[in-house]
Amino acid sequence: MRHLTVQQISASLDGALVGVSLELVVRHLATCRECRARHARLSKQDDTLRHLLAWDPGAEYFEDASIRLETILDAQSRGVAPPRIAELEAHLPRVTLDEVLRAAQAATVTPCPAPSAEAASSEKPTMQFPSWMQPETNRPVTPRPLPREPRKPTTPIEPVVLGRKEPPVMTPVIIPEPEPVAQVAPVAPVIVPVIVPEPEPIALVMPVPAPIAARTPEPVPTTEAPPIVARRRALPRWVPPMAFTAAGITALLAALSALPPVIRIPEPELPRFPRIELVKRQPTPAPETSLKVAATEQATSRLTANAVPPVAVATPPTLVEPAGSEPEPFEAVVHEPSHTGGKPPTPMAMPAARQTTPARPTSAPVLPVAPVVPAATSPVEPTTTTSDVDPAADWPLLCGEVLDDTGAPVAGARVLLADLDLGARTDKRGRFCLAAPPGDRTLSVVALGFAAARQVVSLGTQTLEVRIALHPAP
Amino acid sequence: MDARATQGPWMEHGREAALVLAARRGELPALFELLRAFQLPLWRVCFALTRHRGECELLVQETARRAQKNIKQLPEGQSFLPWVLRLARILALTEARRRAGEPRTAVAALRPDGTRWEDGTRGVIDLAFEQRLLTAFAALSVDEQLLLALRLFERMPYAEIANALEQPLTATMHRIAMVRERLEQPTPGEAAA
Repeated sequence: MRHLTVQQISASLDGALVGVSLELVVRHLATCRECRARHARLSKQDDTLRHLLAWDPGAEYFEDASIRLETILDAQSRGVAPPRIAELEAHLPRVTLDEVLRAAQAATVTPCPAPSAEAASSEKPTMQFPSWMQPETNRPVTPRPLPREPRKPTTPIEPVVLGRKEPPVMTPVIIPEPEPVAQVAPVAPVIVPVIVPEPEPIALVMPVPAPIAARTPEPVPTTEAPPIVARRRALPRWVPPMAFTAAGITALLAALSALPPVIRIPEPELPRFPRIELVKRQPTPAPETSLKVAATEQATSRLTANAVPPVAVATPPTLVEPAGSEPEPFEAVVHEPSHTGGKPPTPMAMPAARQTTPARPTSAPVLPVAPVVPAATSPVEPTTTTSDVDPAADWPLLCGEVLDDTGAPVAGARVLLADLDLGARTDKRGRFCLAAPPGDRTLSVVALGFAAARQVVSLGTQTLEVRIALHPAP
Repeated sequence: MDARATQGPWMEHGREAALVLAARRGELPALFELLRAFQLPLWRVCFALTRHRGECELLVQETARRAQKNIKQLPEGQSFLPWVLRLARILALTEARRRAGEPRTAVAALRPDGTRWEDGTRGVIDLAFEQRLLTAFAALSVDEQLLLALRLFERMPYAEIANALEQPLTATMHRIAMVRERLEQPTPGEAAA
């Protein structure tokens, strides 16, 4: 028997079949169980999609949205930048497909009976959104009855005239005629001179000595002995010719000599900090070589046996580097700043993260160095130090290796003691080693591509070896 | 097909033509009335295309802005809704191309605690089926989503859908059937599993 095509079933679902086609489909569905099942499947699929993707937030929401939309369109019609509702998307929860599938996995699929009204009312939703911001609504689409109520005639919207103003009232103002001045004979009509001030240039007005002024046939109008300041004053339009004579030059020199000395603004004392200079390192002594050799394979026991303090404090101030790695060809030497001024430099306010490195201008400077431990293999990079633990204590070593599921070492994994703010990175062989005060510590291991791992370790007086397996990130 | 099952807007043709004419002259109140009249189908289609409320509103706003800008290009005597739906389709296509690499947005049927958004009732009859259907719907192209939205959510007749999407009637019928078949088939992930 030939089954119905999907076009026939689809058209049947949509009610688009009439006449012979409809009769053919109906007869076939009555006899073919398979096509009937497929018809039911597609019908359920349609209903479910209508149920899931239908959205009817209500009239209030549509009213608000219409107002927002009309505001934007009105602004666009006036050529004004439309207001962006940028917060809208930020406030709305964005549900991605992964979250949907995760929620589907977490939820119980077993159908439950519908709760009673009391139970439903007692269940408070975990997230409260405004009515117009409800992220999802699964109301089924209810077909609206047709025809609807006749639409009320919409009231025409009166155009809003912006910037319409009443014409200003012109009130005649009677200006009284000014009284005639006694010295000037009244003349009609009165002509009021309008004086437009010229822009005044900046001029340096110099005092003119008195004897020169006495010899001057006409005194300079601006000889009121002003202070030597730069002020806005009109330049004299007439320069006396005596200024170019020898006497004038002499007077000018005398005036210049009478000027006060140049005022110097004292420079504030800038704080000075120790200068760090890189100096080529001298050949390493023999004991360090032995230490390096000892640290290759079984370093932990030997180090504890030799009681090498796991703390390095730089006196003399040289940077200490972890053993086992190649020594840097340079070392840092700190030079004490020389204060030529009378006052010591005022300490600058340092950020909180740098408070561990106070400037010590009087004593020998000590570089703050993290507790460095000679690692078993190499590159253990002490990343941070802690301020609440005593770095001078004899800390035990916490060493170990980080492996993946297949047993391969994970290089570059970050090993952290979160409660102490201590950390290190694993080397190529997945090994790490760091020193920490005794006690129960939480060891966190983070690596790219792997899920973070946590392990509680109990540090005693002896070196502790741990092995951590990382699993790929989901 | 029963044309009365259409959920579309109801506006007298003469009234709509007059409003379109006024809107073409630049009268904003006429455009506002047109948009309010066709608001519900436009919003439902945009929500089906975006499946996100914020993006849905942004898409509606951008569609309305385009409509205001290009209202003079609307031919006389043509209905307003299909033309606006075509604008929304073009914008959704542009947005889909822009977000080609991003994860698709779907609609969660449940809250994170397992309750429905709508009424807080716990438990779904066939949650896995719903999620599979949402995933398959999100994997459809914009044209296919629009086709299904107009048919399922707006209950538009085939002829109106064909007019709105500017395609032949028979092609519209065939494509709707094909989309239904695609939704019925398992997704590539399910097939691999």
